[in-house]
Order: sequence, then C-alpha cells, then structure tokens
Amino acid sequence: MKALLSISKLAFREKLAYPKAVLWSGIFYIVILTVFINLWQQLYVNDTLYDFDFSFEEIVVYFVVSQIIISSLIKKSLPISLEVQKGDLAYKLVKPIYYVNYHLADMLGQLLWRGFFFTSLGFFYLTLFYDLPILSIGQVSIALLSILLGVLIDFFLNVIIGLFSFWFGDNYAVDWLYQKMLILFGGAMAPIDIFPDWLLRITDYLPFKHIIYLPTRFLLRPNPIDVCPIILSQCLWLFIAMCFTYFLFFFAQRKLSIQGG
Amino acid sequence: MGLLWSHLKLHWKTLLEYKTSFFLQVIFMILNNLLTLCFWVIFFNKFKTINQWGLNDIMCLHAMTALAYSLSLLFAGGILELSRHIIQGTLDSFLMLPRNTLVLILLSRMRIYACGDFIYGVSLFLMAGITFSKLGLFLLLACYGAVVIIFFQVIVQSFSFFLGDASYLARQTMSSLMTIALYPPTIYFGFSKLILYTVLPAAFVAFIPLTIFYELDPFLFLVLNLYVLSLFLLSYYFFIIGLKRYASSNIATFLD
Repeated sequence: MKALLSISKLAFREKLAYPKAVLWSGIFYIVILTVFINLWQQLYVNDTLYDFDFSFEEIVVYFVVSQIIISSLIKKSLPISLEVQKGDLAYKLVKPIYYVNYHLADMLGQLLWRGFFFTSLGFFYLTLFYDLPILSIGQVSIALLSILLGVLIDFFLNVIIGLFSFWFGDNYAVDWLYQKMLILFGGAMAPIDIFPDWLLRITDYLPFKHIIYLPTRFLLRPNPIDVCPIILSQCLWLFIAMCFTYFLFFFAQRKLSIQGG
Repeated sequence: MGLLWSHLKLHWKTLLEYKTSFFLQVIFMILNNLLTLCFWVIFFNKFKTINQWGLNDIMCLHAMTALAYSLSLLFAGGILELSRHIIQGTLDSFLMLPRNTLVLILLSRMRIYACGDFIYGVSLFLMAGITFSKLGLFLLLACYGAVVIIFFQVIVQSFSFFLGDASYLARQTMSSLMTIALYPPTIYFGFSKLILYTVLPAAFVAFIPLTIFYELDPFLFLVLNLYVLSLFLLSYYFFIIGLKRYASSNIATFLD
C-alpha cells in the first residue's frame, strides 16, 4: 500500500512539474463546452425541446460536469500497449508491485492533478456565465464516489484494450473506437435521454453510461432513491472489468517473450 | 510535383508493407466516424432541424471536413511532427537537402488513418444525394480546406521555435479546429463566431468551401483564395523567422 501511495505521489508531482500538457488541454475543454452550449442554446431559443426533461441551466451544468469527467480520464491503453510492444513491460514486472496495480496507482496520481485543474476550470466557467447549482455535502460526496467508480471502470477497460497488444500488436484503432463509444454512449456529446428507446435499452447493457452519464445525472438531480441503483450498477461493472483485466493479464504474461537488452 | 509524387509513392509502399495494420486502421477510422454520424442521426431524429440545418446539410459538412482533414494528412502528414523536430533539434535531416525545408517536412509522413477519413468523406458525399459528377468540384474545394489546416498547423507548430514545446498547443488547437468545423456554423454568434473566422479558422476549412459549392459564388471564392494566400504567406514567414532561432542537436538521420 505504501509503495502504491508513493507511485501515486510521484505521478502527481511529475504532472505538476510539467503542467503544459494539462494547461493547454484547457483550450479544448473551453472550446468543446462553448460548441455544445451554443448548439443546445439554439434548440432552447427555437423552442424545439417540447418533450425534453432538462432546463437550459441544467444542460449547461450537465456539459460542464461531463466534460470535467471525460477530460480528467487518464488514457492508459496507449502507454500499456507501447510497453508491451517495446518490451518495457519487463522493467515493471520485476518490481515488487503487481503490474496492473502499478498503473492504477499511477493513474490515480495523474487523475488528482487533471481532476483538480478541470474542476477549477469548469467551476470558473460556470460562475462566469451561469449560476452554480446548490448541493449538500452528502450529495457532493455521493456524486464524487460515483465519479470515482466511473473512473475506475474506465481505467480497467483501458487496461484491457492495452493488453490486447499481446495478441494484436498495435491497438490504436481499437482505442479510437473505445474513446468514441465512450463519448457517444457515455453521454458526453449529449445526454443519452435523447436516444430512442431501443438504443437506451442497448446502453443499459454497456459500461459507458456508468462512467459519465450516471454520475453527472446524479449531480444534476440528486435523488436519494437513485443512490443505491447507481452505485450498485457501477460496482457490478467495476467487478466485471476488474475480473476480466486480471484474467487477461494472467494469460498475457504467458505470451511474454523478452530477448534481453 | 515530381517530389510530391515520389514521396507519395514511397509512403504508399511503406504503408502496404504492413497490410493488416493498414486495413485495421482504415476500417476502425471509418467506424469511428460513423459513430459521430450516428450521433447526428439520433439528434435530428429527436429535434428535426437546428437553425435551418438538417441531417443532409450536416452530412455534407462532415464530408467536406473529413476530406479536407484526410487530404492534409495524406499529402502533408509530416506537419504533425514539426514541433517535435524543432524541440529535439532533428531538423538537420531536412536542412541538408537541396529542396525547400518546409515542403520536405510536410511531405515526410503520410497518415494511414487519413485513408479512412477520405473513404468516409467520399461515401458521405454520395449518401447526401449529390450527383457523382460534382465530386471533382467538391474535392477541389476540400483541397482549400486541407491547405488551411496545413498552414494553420505550420503557424501553431512553429511556436516551438519561440515558446519551447508547443506540441500540446498544436494538438489541442487541431482538435478544437476540427471539432468546431464539424458543427453547423449557424449555432455560433458573437464572440464564438469571431473565433470561428479568426483564431481557429474552422469556417474556412469546411463551411465557406461548402457555401461556394452550393452557391457557386465567385466573390466568396475570391475571398477564400485571398485568405489561403495570406495564410500561406503568414505561415511561411513565421516558419522562416523561427528557423533562424533553431538550435541543432547534431542528429542527422533519415531513420527518424
């Protein structure tokens, strides 16, 4: 545990020492937020949202929060894939820390910095143009727990995609597809409430909405009745993703061949 | 032209050397784009139109953007590496050759996934119900969009000569430019509209070429040409000024 904490600390400090990447990605955050809000503003202005559940203020908060989540996610699939392809994985395997846990600790350290930055930026954007939603400490705590569970689900799915490199080599293409599915079915482009019923039923069987949509929706409309179903379904997806990751890594290690260097 | 042709031939042969990777990346890129289109199908199924823009208009806009983006990365894929070359001091390989340095950098790479974008762009154009005979004009106008993307990236990536590592800035501005270009321009007003035509010239990537395609407006065509010329002069001047500040790492390799 102490070792994992040190890795997290190290990752956090490293990101803090080289903040350019995160700071510049703030541009994209603001741009995408402006595009989405402009788009939806036109829908509200033209009064085309006669059967839509959200008010304009709610939709703004929805996009601010969902974009905070998606911008803060650490994409671990590519680093893992590169480690597999280049053989750098060998250096991590000899360390007295389980490989997947090493990346988990590293991800959490990075997440702390990115999460802090994008949350600050999001709140600054909200206070500048709109009103902040009023929430109790309990509601915020549950929302944070739900966000954390979503982040963990995303992490394990990323590791699975990264480990596919043991079998398929290059995994860029799969990673693009995953990211796009997360954005679309996770509800980052628009709340999934606009989906037709048949598609909504399909999203129920996919992990994506548990990463972005459900935590954001809870923060927007905190209803005590929703807490248990949301957290339980997220825990279930986390358990499935974790089991599959460890199972896959067990077999992946058998395929490992290192030729010195 | 000979230089361009020989580079293209070389890149194409290299790509086909890894056939599985090539086809996988192309197919997945098309799937990736189809998911974005899926969003708009769902969106217009729910809301019908947005400021007089319907699904067909969006398909044309996406076709133009995808073609402009793919052409820029097929013919000048090296643009995404410019910042890295400046920071690592590996421009020497290009400076030593008896041709224009910037042209050589631009031609030094071809992005495989751009083939997927190209196929997607052409398919979308045909799906939008436009006759095949107009594809030539559409492609010509997409070339203007591609040139805007290339010159804009030359400016942004050249910031590395002055600010240190600008690769993050370049990546974010590229993503922002392409994202804005994919949305109907009628949703932007005031300050965001100003950005659309100036700092992030997304309007010149797809919307203006598309308007010219529909309306065959000679004045707008002249404006587009003047804009492209100004952007070219600005980007080239910026690159040349920056090049004077370049510090080599004494790494001259063609294997990079």
